[in-house]
Amino acid sequence: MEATQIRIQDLNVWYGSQHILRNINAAIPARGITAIIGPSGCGKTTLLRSINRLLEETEGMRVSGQVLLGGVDIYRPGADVTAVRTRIGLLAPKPFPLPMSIYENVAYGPRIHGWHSGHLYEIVQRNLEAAGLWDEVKDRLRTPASRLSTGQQQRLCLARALAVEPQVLLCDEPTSALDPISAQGVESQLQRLKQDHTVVVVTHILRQARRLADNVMFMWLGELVEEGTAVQLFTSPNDPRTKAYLAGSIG
Amino acid sequence: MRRIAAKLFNPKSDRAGSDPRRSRRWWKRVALDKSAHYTMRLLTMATVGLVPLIAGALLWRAWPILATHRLTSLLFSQAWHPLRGEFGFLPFIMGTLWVTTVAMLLAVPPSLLTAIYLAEYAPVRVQRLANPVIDLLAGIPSVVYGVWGVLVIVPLVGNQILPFVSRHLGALALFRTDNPTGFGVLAGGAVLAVMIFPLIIAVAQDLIRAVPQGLREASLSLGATRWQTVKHVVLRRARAGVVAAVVLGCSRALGETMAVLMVVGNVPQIPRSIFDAAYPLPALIANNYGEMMSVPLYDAALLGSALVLLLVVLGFNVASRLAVMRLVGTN
Amino acid sequence: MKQHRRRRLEERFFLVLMVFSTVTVLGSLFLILYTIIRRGMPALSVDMLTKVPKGGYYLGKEGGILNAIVGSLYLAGGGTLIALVLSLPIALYLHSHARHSRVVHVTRLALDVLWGVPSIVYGAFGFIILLALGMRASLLGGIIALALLELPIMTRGMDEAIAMIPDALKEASYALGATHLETAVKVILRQSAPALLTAVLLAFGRGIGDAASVLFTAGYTDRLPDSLLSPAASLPLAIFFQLGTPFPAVQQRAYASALVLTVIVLALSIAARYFAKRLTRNVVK
Repeated sequence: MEATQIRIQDLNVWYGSQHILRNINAAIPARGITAIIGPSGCGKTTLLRSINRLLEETEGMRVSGQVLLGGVDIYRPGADVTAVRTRIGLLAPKPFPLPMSIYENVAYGPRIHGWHSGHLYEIVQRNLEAAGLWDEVKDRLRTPASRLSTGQQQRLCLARALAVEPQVLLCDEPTSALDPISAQGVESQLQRLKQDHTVVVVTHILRQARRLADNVMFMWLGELVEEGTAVQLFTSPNDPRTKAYLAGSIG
Repeated sequence: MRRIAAKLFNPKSDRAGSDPRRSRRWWKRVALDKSAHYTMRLLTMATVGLVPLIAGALLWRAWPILATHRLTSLLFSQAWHPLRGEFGFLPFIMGTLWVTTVAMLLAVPPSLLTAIYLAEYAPVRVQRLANPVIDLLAGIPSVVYGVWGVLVIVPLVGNQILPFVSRHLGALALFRTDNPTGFGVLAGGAVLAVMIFPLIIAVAQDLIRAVPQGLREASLSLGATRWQTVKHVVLRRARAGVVAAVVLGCSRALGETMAVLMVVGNVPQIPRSIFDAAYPLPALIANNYGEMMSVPLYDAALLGSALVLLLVVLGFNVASRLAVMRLVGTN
Repeated sequence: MKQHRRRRLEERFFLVLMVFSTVTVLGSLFLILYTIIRRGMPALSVDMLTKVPKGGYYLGKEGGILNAIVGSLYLAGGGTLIALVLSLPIALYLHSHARHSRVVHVTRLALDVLWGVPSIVYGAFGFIILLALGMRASLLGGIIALALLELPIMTRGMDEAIAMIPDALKEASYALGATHLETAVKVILRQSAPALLTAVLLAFGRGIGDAASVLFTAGYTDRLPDSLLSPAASLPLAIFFQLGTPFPAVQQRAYASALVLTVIVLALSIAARYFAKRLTRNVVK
């Protein structure tokens, strides 16, 4: 059993009067890929966004409970939200290249943290390599990032997220806007990254979860129904709802 | 669906006699629809033609002075003696530029900061309170701004700001004056600034809001602070929009008449300091319409300056609108 | 960590600056209202609202500004009526025919540009029309100038109101065999009526408050306007002229007149917002 990286305790989320996450308790192990699966609207994305406190960017969201990162609650009073988000990166469903060059996109994170100690170029190169994009863009680092194809943009976003050296990488349906080949590229990068990162992937594609996941969490109507290793959950689920979902009869 | 309906009712596609819809009532409906269509189209075209028409009419009436005076002497001469036939617009052009510049300097920073605050920081409650108030501010007639300027801004400038500034910064020509009244460039600029707040705020706010949320989240999830996100990502993306908002405010400031007229002093001279009286172009036109028909060429001169005003404002306006259109197109 | 504190400080600094700016902007509205009310209230009287200027009014003698109030209502009312007759068909045209064509694009740009034309230029243009027709400054002249001034405001407002109607609703009407005109009148107008009213009220408010355009075209008189061809007084000019006299008592009346105008315009603004809100409640989605 590996060490637990993120522990979620009694997490509840309301949006206005809607109770959209109910009493979530979960443990996400360090390293490896944890997939959150479930039908659309079940709260997968909300759960993911509560882990790097991006939820509070939406007005009307209320969060109670704890999310412990390495044993420390990120919702504790006085917690520095920018420090939390630096340690926990996010890959959005659609690539959002910042309105600047390819190089500047990757350098953006280190720059805003004031890490520019002369080796920015190396940081950019290392992370573009880690995202599998370096060979395609090394000759045009100064061109605007918006000129890249969608698949390349998504890998750029990955490189950008990695450049601030997060321990955890949250991926919200990271391949949903991509063509199959680009999607495969992103998936294989995630497989490689799980060696030294904790990767959490939200997906509604069961096959993707089967391909990628070491651990799986199944959500249903705002509740965490079941969590476990991929092998256990996919082969012998405990909850009847999980069984029904995996069989395709609900969701 | 519309195309099917159109086909159904197209008289040409109907075979004679075979279609029960070809009743008189039906013909009447179609005829009415067609004539309405052409009326609407005509009116729309007329609207498009209105701007050139206005410019053309002004040019027509201004022609006598353009035909008898060199353009350079009109634009760059200081001699303004309508009775002697001397029409040098330089003092008025400079007056317009001074007042507009001061207005922009005073208006742009607070307007943009307010727009950013309302679009990026303010809770919904504050937005719901602030935006209607700003709309109301936009609706106040310019003559009321003028009264307010006379009652509040002019005494403030004359009694407080002028003595204070000339005591401490009097060495600078920009702050030196022999006009102690408070009526002048600064008062005009300040009133104008308040008048263009709502315009700049509304346009800038809209275009800042048009920046996709995903971009903000991308920056925030890298650990950027909100202000860093605004500065490096949001404003960068909305740059053209912010420029457009400022340019639009500037064009409004250039053409504003009554409020400025009431507080700016109206002395035909080239201002040398922000406390000097000025005489902007719109004020010149408004103040002299009464006698312009009784002095030869005077009407041509005034309508000519209206033409200059129109062309300058048009230039600013079109540039800004095109920038906005391009921006909206790319988002 | 130094970097960390620096950016926290920067965040604070700009937030304070932004809040300060917002308060300044909002505060300026309240300052204007406060000034106008405080200085206008004492001079406001029943006489001011119900009498026309008597001899020596501008020296501080008896009378009121009824001529200006009535003149302004006539001017803005007439201008709004003409603008309405012109802008409704244009707004409908922008939506029911050739919706994404170049014509529509160019028309919107032209309307936006017209919106930006300074009102003194409309005044000058109206003046040229009057000269060309051999007329003198009159109620009709003022109405024409204000109609031109209000046209872009009203058309753009209606344009946006109609844009909010879902396409499916129009298509449902076409599918039933209705012509464009029938759809426009029975579906589009009915659906967007409150928002159209908003556009009309806003344009009326702009018209009644504008001074520079009527300065050339409507003239000024102490009598109530009795025909379209006689000059007409207006509130903004009444304020302007009274303020321009050297007599404090008359200047007081300028403040009172400004209060009257402000109340009218704000009431229109608020009514317009009210109808705009009603629309969102009524629209079929």
